[in-house]
Amino acid sequence: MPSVQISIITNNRPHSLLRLLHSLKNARYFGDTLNLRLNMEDTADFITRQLAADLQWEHGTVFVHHRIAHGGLLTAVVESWYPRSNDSYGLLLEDDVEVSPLFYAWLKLALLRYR
Amino acid sequence: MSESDAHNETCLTPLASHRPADFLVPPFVLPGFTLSDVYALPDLNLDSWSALGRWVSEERPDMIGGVVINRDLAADGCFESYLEAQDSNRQRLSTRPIDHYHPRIFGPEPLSSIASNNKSHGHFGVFFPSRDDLAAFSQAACGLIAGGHHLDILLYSEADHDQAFISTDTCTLHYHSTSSATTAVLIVSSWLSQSSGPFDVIISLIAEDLFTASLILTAQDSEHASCTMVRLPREDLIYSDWMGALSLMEWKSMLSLFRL
Repeated sequence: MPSVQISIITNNRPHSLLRLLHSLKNARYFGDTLNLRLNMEDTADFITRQLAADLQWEHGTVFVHHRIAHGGLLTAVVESWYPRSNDSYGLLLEDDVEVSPLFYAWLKLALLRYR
Repeated sequence: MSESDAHNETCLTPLASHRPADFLVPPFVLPGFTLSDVYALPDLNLDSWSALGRWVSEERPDMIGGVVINRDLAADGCFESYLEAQDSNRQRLSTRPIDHYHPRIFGPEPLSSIASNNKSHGHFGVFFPSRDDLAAFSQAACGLIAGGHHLDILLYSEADHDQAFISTDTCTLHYHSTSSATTAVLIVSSWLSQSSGPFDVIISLIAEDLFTASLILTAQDSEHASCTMVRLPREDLIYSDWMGALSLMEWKSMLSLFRL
């Protein structure tokens, strides 16, 4: 069954991360289920870790991945998401971006149209 | 063509009955989904018709590479057409990258094999409680009408009255309303039975009410059992105008693509 997972990559920018999380919560999902994965580097600061611990996501499950050995950006991106099958889709977001309230409408339309 | 070993091939000519073959030479037809696994193709060495036939046979439980049919289209000489097909300067598989092929060849098969999937225009049922909900969804609804789809709209919490339509800048949406003297099951059954043919898609709300529950149960046991049921949150209706641009195939894919 095709599915979309949102994977966030963050380290020590809690204010940006909070902005991203707010924009994700304010977006429209049209009743769909999207699981959220939060990937933190080993050097994640206290506020970032606290945001991860307090994260509430009503559109699916939350998985927090906190590295215990430093990986760097490339490693963080590569291991942030892996497709389970040809029907798996990942939305990789760094913590310095902010999504539109209709980002998922665009994403869903694109998958329906071009998949 | 039948291949007994690498160097000794027996040519099968079409007869009245179908016959299995190890591989085929043109002209033949090949289902698009056979080549839809683009991840496998680049790893294969498909440099001949026999290689293609071997690959096809490996994907099939009956281990055949093709079926020879239709004696009316038989070539005058089997070996003549076979030798032509083996000519490296003439018909052969292209070695161009996959991206250069016509996208339809590698497109996925329809998610359902029912005949209605091949239609370009669909029959949509819109099952909302109130005029406000329909007004919020009106952009998408008008988009569907503009796309040639047919809509049957029921507002199950609206009482019968003369003005059973709402007008927008782009279209007028006529709807059916209900009588308070009947039950939810009867209202739903009546709407489903009076619709102009089976629905391809029914759009309703994610609402835990008796009408929606009746719709789900009643539709399953009717001619609409194969329709796609798309349920939307009420608060997202005003943001759903993009759905008016979806094709029937995309609507029917929506549910299976994104619901767990």
